[in-house]
Amino acid sequence: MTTLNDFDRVLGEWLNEGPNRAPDRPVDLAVEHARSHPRRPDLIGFLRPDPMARPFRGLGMGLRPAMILATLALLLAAVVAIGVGGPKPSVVLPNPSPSASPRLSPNPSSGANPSPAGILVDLTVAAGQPQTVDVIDESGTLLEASSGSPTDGQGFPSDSVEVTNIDATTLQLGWAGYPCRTDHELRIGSDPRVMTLVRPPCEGVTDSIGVDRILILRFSEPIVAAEVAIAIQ
Amino acid sequence: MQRDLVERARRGETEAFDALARLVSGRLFAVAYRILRDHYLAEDAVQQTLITIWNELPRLREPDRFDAWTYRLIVRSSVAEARRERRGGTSIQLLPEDADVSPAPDQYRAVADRDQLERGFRRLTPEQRAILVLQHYAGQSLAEIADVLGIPVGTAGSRLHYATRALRAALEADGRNVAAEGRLA
Repeated sequence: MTTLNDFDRVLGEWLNEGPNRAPDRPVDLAVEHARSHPRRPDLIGFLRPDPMARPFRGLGMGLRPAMILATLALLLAAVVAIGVGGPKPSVVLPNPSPSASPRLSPNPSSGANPSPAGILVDLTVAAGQPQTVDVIDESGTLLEASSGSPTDGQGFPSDSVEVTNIDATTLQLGWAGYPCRTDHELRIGSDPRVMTLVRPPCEGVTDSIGVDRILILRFSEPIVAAEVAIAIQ
Repeated sequence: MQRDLVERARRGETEAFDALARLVSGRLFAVAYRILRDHYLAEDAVQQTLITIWNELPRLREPDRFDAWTYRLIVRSSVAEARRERRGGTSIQLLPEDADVSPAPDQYRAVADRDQLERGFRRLTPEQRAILVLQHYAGQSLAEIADVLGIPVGTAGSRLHYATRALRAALEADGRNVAAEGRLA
């Protein structure tokens, strides 16, 4: 035992002899290399193995990248699942299709408010009592409903709805009615070209002069005004 | 201080790397020189190790493992330098397991002869030299050696055992040659 210790001691003493300070040359050259090779951002650096990673007990180190990839795959699947089955927009439309993304009118004067049955639009009127229209879309193509700005007097018919195109995907609906408070309902069928306007009768005494109402509907798909049929109830 | 330099160098700060390299270069050079027994080869090994540190540092997740990692790098660089330099090195014949390889105490006085130890050490493989340096110079435990070399502790113990036996065999062979030369003289 003594001899073994002697051997270790002698070897240790011999190894301890020698230089313990590095010359400047290799350090200077390495630093020069670092300055001339600035490190670029490594976007997938987190996937690269740690050079001093401790192996998992019972598992080979080669499994580590596979585990990382599996974790990433699970995360991706979770993100996709949330995207497909996650919460819908706060505006609730009847029977929305996946392609519809309804939102409220950006025009504050239109006074559009969401309702469980559709989009409630406060119509702008030149005179008379407040007018509203509850737009119920069954086609899933309605993006926006807002009020237009009618002028004084009656310019639209009172027994039908005049439909014109503002652009390829936007319709203007205009009609006239008595200036009493009226809460309309506009139902857009599964075919957006088929609509029904429900117009309750005025109650009590009212002015017999008609006033215009204008409703702007914007769809996600092109729609031709001439093809739209609106029934009034 | 070193940890802060490691963190900053990981982020790509060359000034921090400069300071870090000068901080650890002495330790790296000392290990490389003792494995290689050559000043210039040790310089090359240190330079290669420092460049690797710069290039690979972002991959090191735990800054506290920096010392062990740099030991691993300098051992690898030194072994690579030794292999490049080695030309027809002498192979060491290990003595049988049951052979008595423990020299008598007076023989250790001969072992203490620096030239003989130098010759015997040079006849070892670079890997054998490295493991002896890690234990007898760097003072590392078997577990630490295993960590540095990335091998199981049992394997580290086995390698250390065979390296020690190889050195003893080399010293004995050298001693016999010296004695024979003395008789011839």
